[in-house]
Amino acid sequence: MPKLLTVTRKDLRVLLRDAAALGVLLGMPMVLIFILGSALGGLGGEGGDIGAPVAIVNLDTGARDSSVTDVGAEITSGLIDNETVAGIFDIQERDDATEVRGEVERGELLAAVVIPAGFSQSIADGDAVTLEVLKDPGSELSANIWESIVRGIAADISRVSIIAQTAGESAAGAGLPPELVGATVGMAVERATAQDAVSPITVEQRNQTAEATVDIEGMDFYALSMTSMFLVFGAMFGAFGFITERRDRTLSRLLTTPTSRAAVIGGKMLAIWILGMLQFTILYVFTRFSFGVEWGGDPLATFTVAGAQLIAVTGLAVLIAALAKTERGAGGYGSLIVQLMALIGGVFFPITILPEWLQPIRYASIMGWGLEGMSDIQIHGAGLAEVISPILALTVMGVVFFAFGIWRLRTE
Amino acid sequence: MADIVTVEGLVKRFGDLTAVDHVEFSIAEGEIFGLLGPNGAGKTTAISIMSGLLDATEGDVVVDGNSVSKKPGAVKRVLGVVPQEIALYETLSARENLTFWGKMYGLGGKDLSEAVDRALELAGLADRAKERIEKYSGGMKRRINIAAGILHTPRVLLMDEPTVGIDPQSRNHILEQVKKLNAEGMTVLYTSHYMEEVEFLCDRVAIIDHGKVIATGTIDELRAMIGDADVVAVELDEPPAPETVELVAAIPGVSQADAVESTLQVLSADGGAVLAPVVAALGRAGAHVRGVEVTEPNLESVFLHLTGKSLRD
Ligand SMILES: Nc1ncnc2c1ncn2[C@@H]1O[C@H](COP(=O)(O)OP(=O)(O)OP(=O)(O)O)[C@@H](O)[C@H]1O
Ligand SMILES: [Mg+2]
Repeated sequence: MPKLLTVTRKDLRVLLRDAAALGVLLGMPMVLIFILGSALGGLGGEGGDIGAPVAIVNLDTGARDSSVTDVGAEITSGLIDNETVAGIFDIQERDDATEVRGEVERGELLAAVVIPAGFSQSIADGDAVTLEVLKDPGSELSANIWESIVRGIAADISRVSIIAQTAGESAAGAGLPPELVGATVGMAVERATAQDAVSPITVEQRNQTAEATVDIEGMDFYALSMTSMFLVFGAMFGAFGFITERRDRTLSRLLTTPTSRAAVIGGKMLAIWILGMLQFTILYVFTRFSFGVEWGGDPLATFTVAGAQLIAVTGLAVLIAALAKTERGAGGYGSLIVQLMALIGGVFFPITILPEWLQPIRYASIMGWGLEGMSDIQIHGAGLAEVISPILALTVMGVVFFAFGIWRLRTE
Repeated sequence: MADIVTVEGLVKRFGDLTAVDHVEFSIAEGEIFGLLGPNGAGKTTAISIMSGLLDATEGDVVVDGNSVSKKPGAVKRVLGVVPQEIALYETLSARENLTFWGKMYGLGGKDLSEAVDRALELAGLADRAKERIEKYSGGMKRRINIAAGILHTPRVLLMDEPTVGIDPQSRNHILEQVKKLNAEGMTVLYTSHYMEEVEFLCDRVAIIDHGKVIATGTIDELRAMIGDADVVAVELDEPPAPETVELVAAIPGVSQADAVESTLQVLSADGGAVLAPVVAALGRAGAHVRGVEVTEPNLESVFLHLTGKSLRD
């Protein structure tokens, strides 16, 4: 053990003197988070949004068949009565969608939701429906809260409305006393979830800025995704560590000392992991305090996900070191793997913009799992218990990469 | 004195190539033993097996009673290894490197810092200990490369061509250092393809070529293999044709003639007597003689005598 740690300390020392590595691992993500984040969402302080004006425009007049729920009205009252909304926003009911869109664009309104005409009827007809959520991209965080509240209410209401059509059709529908409707709804919600028959309302979000052609959430999104991606670059530099030692014969020399191969390789792997945790901590603190990025309310969970992601990265480092003969080769493999994994892992765009059937592809990516865990914590307030699957998946990935790598790794 | 290293029937094959071919020798405790051979002879391969880096195809090495194939850990604790290639961390300072290697050899605390100071002193680089290795000259790197192998004062030191590619001053420094370590009781295996180094340092020598030991003994014993002969080295202005060499070899009194580039080495019981006929024969063959020297046999001529070729081609 002490020799393993001696190797780790030596490797950390070597890595921390490698300006190129530090530039890639720390400098590049900071710059990219800043550029991408501020291009698509400003650096505005979040605190100033408390009590910010939001609006709801309900153009829906209910379905032709009055026994069907008026979904527009339900959503409107749901939002107006919502405690979170009341606590954070100053909500107004408006009728002119065009006017509201303009106000969001000019930043006079922070966010809005437009319920289109014929919304309830479309639901009754079984057609796809879309709610339009408008956000001022300058206030990412509170606008995101707005969006998630709208999503939540829409999801609830869509269940209710389906009940109204299925269970409620034979029953007296509109004429039921409130308590009874409640009971019917409760039952039907259970049934609906059990049968997975809910057809959710699509919530379409729009950033009301001319340049905002990409549907992304700015600084908060990029802080996570870039950090996640650049953690994986650690695998490349970790692989360099093995290859350079092989080339410079220090690896052979180490093995002529009374030190086991396991201590040498283990020590180097531990260094990769620790460097990654250092990198993560610096990026976390830096984005938190310079850019005001919200990482979510459970830092322990966030750091555990990062730690698991770095187990995968460490395993990947051994694999790359086994595949590549030279640093050039490792650089090639490394950046190819990082880019592929970034692409399918939802680093450059939120994975939700892919078609649903294609979205599971992210589970082949270290960043896919890492981001799943971290954004659950960030957006949905998940805690450690709720991000166990990404943590396990990343650990398993690390073990698998390591197993393949160690099998082929040459030490002389 | 008892043998501390015994190499028994050692064979190493890389595919079709037999890099080490039934090598046998033993080293007595306290000795400087030379392994002399040209490039590709199998010296490094043999040292790699001895130090537990490579597995032997056949045979074994026993160091201080432990077999390297069965108890590599025990063997490694007795050994210090100075690899042929400089194996140091370029971005760490000399002191950081030595401290690290000392720890890997199991040193710690005060023993370690004293050992590092001593090694830096021995390397003559105490005043530059804080500089990164990448800023050092080749000769200075070599010295630290050696220092890293002797920090823990191993009982047996394996040195693989520690002086390759450095200036004469650094080389002399290193040779003196090896002598000093040996005087303090360290057993040394020293490989080289410079016969001068081996003649200067070693008590006993094994000459190795194409993986085979072709002669073993003290320097005097090896010289005696040529017999009581003189070596006549004739320097020509270009390498002689094979027929010319044969012509010279056929001269009465000449026991052997070999060409090494443009030098013709002639062995004879009486160098003075064959000088004139040799020069005359070369003249007839159209070769231009630039100089002639009659010397005592050395390991170079022994090697030439045994293999018909030079150590350094
Ligand atoms: N890993 C290897 N794979 C294949 N062939 C090898 C390997 N290592 C050495 N050889 C071959 O074995 C032979 C002996 O090489 P070795 O390095 O032991 O020679 P050496 O005496 O140390 O030479 P030098 O004086 O140049 O260092 C050479 O022909 C070399 O090409
Ligand atoms: Mg060699």
